[in-house]
Amino acid sequence: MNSRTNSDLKKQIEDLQTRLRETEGNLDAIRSGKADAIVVQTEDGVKVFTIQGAETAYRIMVDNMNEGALTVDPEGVILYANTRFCSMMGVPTTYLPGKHIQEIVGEEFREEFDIFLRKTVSGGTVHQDFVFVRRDQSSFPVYLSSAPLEIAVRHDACIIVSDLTERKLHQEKLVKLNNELEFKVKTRTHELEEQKTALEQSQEQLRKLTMSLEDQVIRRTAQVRDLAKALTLAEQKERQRLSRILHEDLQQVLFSIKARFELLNDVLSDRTGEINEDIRELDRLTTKALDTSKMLAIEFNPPILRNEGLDAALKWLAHHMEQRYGLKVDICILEGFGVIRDEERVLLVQIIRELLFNVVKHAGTKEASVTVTRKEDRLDVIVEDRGTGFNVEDVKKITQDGTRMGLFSIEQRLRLFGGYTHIQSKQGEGTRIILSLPFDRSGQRLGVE
Amino acid sequence: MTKRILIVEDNEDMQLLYRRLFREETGFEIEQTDTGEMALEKIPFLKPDLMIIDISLPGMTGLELTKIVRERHPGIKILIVTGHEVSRYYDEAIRSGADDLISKDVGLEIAAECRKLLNGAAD
Repeated sequence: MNSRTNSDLKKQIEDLQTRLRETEGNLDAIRSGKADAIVVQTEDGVKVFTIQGAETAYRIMVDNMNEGALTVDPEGVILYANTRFCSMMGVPTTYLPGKHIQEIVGEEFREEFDIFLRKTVSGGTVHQDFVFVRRDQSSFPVYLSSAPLEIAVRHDACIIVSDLTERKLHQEKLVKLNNELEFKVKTRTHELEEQKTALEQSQEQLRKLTMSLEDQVIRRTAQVRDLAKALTLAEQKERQRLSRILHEDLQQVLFSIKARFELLNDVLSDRTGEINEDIRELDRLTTKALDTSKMLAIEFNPPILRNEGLDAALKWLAHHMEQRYGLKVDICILEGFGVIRDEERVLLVQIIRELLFNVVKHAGTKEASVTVTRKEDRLDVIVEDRGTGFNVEDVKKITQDGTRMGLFSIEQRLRLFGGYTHIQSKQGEGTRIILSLPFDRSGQRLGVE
Repeated sequence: MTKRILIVEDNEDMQLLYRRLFREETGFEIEQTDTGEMALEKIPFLKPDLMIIDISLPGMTGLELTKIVRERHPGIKILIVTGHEVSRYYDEAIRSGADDLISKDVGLEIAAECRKLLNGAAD
C-alpha cells in the first residue's frame, strides 16, 4: 500500500480545487477591472502591485486636468506634480518630484504652509490662498485645496492648485473699472448737484423777482388808489374853496348891493315911479344873482359833506333834490353800519348826486330811490327809477362833460377805489344802477354812522 | 337910551353896509371889529347891549364866539347873521347861546330886528 491514503489524496485535491477557484476569481476580477492592485506576501514583506490597466485612466485625467495637482509626503517632499502644475511653475515634469515644496512657496507664507500641510496629513481638508515662486523668482498667487492621501501605511497630501493670476488680474481690472466708474459717478453727481444748485438759485431769483413784481403791482395799485382818493379829496377841497369864494366874497358883495338898492329906494321913494321901477328891477336882478351864487355855493360844497355820515348826507341830498328839482327821492338804508371814510363818503355822495341829476335830466320821472345795503365784504348803493330807461352801451361811451360825470367816468372813479358799477336799464323799463365798494383792506369797515 | 351894538364882521363891504344901515337909526351906538378874539377884548370896556356876529369869521367862528360870550357875559343879546340858509344853522345857533339867527338878506330890517331883541331885554 501507498503512504498516502485515498483520504489524504482527496483532501489534497479539495485543497487544490479551493485554491484554483480562488485564483480563477482573482483572475476574473483583474480581467473585469474590479481589481486595481494585488497584494503579495513576499520574502521582503507585503507588497502592493497596481494593475497598469486600472490606473491609466486616472493618470490621464489628473495629468491633463486644467488645475495643477501634486502629491506631497508629510515632510513636504513633492512626490508627484501633474503637467499643468509643471507648466504653471515653468519647469519640466521631471523637475519637481523630489524637491521640497517650501522651495516654491513664497517666503512670507512658509510658516502658514507648514500648518496647512500638517492639517492635511492629519486628515483635514484645507483651502487657502498662497503665493508660489518660480525658478526665475517671479511669483504668482494660487488657491490650494488639499486632502489627505492614504496609501497603505503612508499619509501623504494631495493638493489641487488653482492659478489665481488671471483671476487677480480680472479682479484688479474690475476694481479699477469700478473705481473709474465711481469717479465718473461722483463727478457726474457733483456736476448734477452744481446744476441743481444753479437751478435752485435761478428758481429762487425768479421767485424773488415774481414777489418783487407782485409787490410792485400791489404798491402801484395802492398808489393809484391813494391818488384816486387824494384826487377826490382835492376835488372836494377845490369845490369848497370855490364855494367859500362865492359865499365869502361874491355873496357879501351882492348882499351889500341889495341892501344899498333898498336904501336907495327908500331915499328916492318920493321920486317918480320910473326910477323906483329901475331900482326895483335892479333889486330883483341882485336877488337873482344872490340866489344863483347861493345855489352854486351849495352845489360846489353841500354842507352835509363836511362832517355828517352817509345817511345824513343822503337825507340832505333827497331834500335838496326835491326842493331844487322837484324830484322825490326815497332813501332806504337796510342795515346799520360802522364808519365810512371821508374820501369814500364824498365819492359816493358825488356819484349819487350825479345819478339823480341824470334822472332829472333824462328819465322823465319825478321819483327815484336810493337804497344802501351791506353784504359780507362790501357796501352796495342802488339808485333806481322807473323812467324811460336807455341803452347801456351807448350811454357808457359818453365821457365827462363839464362838471357832469358820464356813466363811464363814474365806473372808472369807482374802480380806482376797488369798487365797480353794475348798470341795468331798458328802454321804457327804468334804470337800476348798483355802486359797490369793498371793505377797506386795512380792516376798517365801511358803512354809515 | 342909547344902545351900544358891537358888530363882529370881517368883510369890509358888510362893515360899510352896517354903518350905512345904522346911520339913519337913532338910539344906537355902533362899534365894529374883525375877529372874535378882538371882540372878546373889547367887550369889557365897550359893554355892548347887543352883538351882531357873522357866523363865518376867520379864526374863532361866530358860533364859538357866541358860546364864550354867553358864558362870560350872559346879559348881552346876541344876533347871529348868516349868508347861508337860516334853517341850516338855526338850531345850532340857539344851542350855542344866540338869541336869534337871521339872514344877511334882511337888509334894512336889521335895525328892527335889533330893536325887537333889545326891547325883549327891556321887558
